[in-house]
Amino acid sequence: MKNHSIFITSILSLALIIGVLLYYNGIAADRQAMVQAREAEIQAAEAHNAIVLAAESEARESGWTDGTYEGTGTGFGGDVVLSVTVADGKISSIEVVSASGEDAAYFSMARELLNTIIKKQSADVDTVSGATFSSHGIIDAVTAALEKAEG
Amino acid sequence: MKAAGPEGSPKKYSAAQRKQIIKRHLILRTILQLIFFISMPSAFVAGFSGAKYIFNQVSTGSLISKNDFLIILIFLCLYTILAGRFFCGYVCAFGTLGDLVYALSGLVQMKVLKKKKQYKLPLLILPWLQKIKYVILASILLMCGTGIYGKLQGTSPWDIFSQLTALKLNLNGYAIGMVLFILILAGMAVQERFFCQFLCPMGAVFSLLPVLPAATLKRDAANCPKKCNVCLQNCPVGLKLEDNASRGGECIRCGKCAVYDIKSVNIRSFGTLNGTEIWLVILKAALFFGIGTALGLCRFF
Repeated sequence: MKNHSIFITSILSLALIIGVLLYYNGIAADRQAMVQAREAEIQAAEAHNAIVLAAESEARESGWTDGTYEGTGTGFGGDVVLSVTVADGKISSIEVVSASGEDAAYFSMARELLNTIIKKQSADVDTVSGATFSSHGIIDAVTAALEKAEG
Repeated sequence: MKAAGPEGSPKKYSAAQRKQIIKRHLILRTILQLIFFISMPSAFVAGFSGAKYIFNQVSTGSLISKNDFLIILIFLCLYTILAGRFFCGYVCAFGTLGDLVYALSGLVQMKVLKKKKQYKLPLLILPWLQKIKYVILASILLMCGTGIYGKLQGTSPWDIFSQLTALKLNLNGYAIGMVLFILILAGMAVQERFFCQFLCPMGAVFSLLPVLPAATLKRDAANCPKKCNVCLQNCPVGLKLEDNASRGGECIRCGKCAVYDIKSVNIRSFGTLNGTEIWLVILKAALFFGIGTALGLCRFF
């Protein structure tokens, strides 16, 4: 029966070896999955970085640094204070901080300029006829703010 | 004329019948060896590459995934578990080369040098030398596992042999491999199956596999004539079946013990079969050829 005991020993050893290899393969598969997930993360981060870098370099070309800047100009009845927000190097929004001295009717006509300035991405715009002083107030205020943005 | 003994006792053959059985077995085996040599010379290299693949993957912590060599290795191992080392005895090109060199050496010794018997190594050192292949197997796998093996380009005698069987001969950088190959050929001339039993790493793997008891050759020792050593004297790897069962893995299923044991017919594997029956040998060969071809081992299909 020595034949049989050798057979049993070697079949058990073979089963053990195959078991170890399968267990190893399980771990290697998990590791591979983790590595692939990590690489996907890295790729996403790098893609995001690339977008940010592109925006930043574009911003530097426009000359304005991202941020919010206040500028004051002289309107019809006093100071016009505007807050200009630059995002991605572009003028993204302009808020009125104070324009207490302005006549509401004229000022609301001049307000149109805010949209024009954003569309044109420049304070070099024509005044609104009939609201010249308020227009100047706005233009000067935006100009002052943009000067700050140029740094 | 076959003399049938009483129920259950072995058949006795006449001297003429014995000679015919031995001759037929030799012719069949030679024909099959030649067929496999020509059509599947790289089978053992492919199988061993499967083993190296496993260790290379483990060395880098990578996944062991579907790989042609690995599939061939698994096929060779499964076949060996089910049928014994038929691959070694009939299919492997290196084994066939060893038989060829040994036969030529014998021819030269008998006809040219006029010796009475062909030289072979003393039986007693065979078990010791047979352990070397395990050291070789372990070394190669360890080198794969530590990444050193890749740097040993040009040292493999098997690469040289593969090139020769593909009728190529680009030996640039293969100096060490060439020297080893010539030394192996020299060894093959002084001992039957020199490479197989002493140096083959695939042989080391096969000898450790759990071959089904129904497929292993057994000797009915109680019925053997006293002091008969016919099986031992004809066995290339020096086995007297079951005397030392731990070396049973060395058996390469050449079938010589069974065909030479005509006096007592005491060597059998399953029932009255002894594995050298012509229909059985052809069946085993066809099975191996079919599956091997399907796995890409045959260089013609």
